[in-house]
Amino acid sequence: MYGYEITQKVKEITGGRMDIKEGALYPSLHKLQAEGHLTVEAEKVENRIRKYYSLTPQGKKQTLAMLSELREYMENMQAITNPKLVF
Amino acid sequence: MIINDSQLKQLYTFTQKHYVEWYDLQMELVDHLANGIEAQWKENPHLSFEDALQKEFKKFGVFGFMEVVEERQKSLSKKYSKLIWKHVLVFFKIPRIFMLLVFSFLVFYLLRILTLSADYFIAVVFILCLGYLVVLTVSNYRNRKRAQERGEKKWLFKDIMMQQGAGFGLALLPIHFFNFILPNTESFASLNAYVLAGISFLFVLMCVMVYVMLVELPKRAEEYLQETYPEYQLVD
Repeated sequence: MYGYEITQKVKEITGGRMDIKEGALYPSLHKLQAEGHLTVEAEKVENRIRKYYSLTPQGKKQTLAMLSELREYMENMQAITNPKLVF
Repeated sequence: MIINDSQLKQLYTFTQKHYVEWYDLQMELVDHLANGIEAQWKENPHLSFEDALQKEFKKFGVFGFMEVVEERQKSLSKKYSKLIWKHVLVFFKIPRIFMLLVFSFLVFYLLRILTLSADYFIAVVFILCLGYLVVLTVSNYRNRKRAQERGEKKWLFKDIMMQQGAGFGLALLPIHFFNFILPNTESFASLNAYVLAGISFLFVLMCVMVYVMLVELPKRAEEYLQETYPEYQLVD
């Protein structure tokens, strides 16, 4: 996906609840690319060049790891706010 | 309605005016702005190009393109440092490691037999570093001017490689290094042999780094540019 497409896709999937700011998107994409989580391909579209980002195998692994970390965090938060005390 | 060639040129000028000097970043931002403007035109075909552009630019926040440029600089500088280390590490493998050891021994031997004052040595290293910086600055200025006259496109990673961004700091490193460890020493010859061996090795290692930055990396610049920028070959 290319930068603009990512912002639109996120908006579409989340029904407008999540809005990625352009000023934050490209720094993140470049950082992830430098870390080897993303790979880039370029293509000439109409009169301009477009850069497409995709996850590398390392990036996919990292995504799964971060999602599971997030899930664990949510479970912990739920346990803290709604403790089931057993005696 | 789609962006025409003259509007595309205006978008490039717009990014330049907002402090994006490198073509690789301009290209990506121009495509983004163009997509945004075209999307706005789909909803409101009467919107002027200028208004649509301003609306799209506002989405980048108060700092505009600054953050995008800064982060790109940071990540490419990191990539450059990694490349230097990759090339330096080759000197730790056979057969080049022998060269490293022979030169270290030579420096060690020279420092051992010469009753050279540490201050004198620091002065020589300092003059060498300063000379290196002056030559680098002048040649960079000339290259930049020549490229500007020829209307060449600027690539951020190329600039980092040619300016040896990290080199400025590295070139001055030995001065601090010798200052720290040799505060009261009269001569290198009177130093403990192990310390002297360490200094000799580090000195040769520094020379290897400068060699990698000045000779090896610029020699393979095209290869690394193509690896960094898949769009490099698409540009006329």
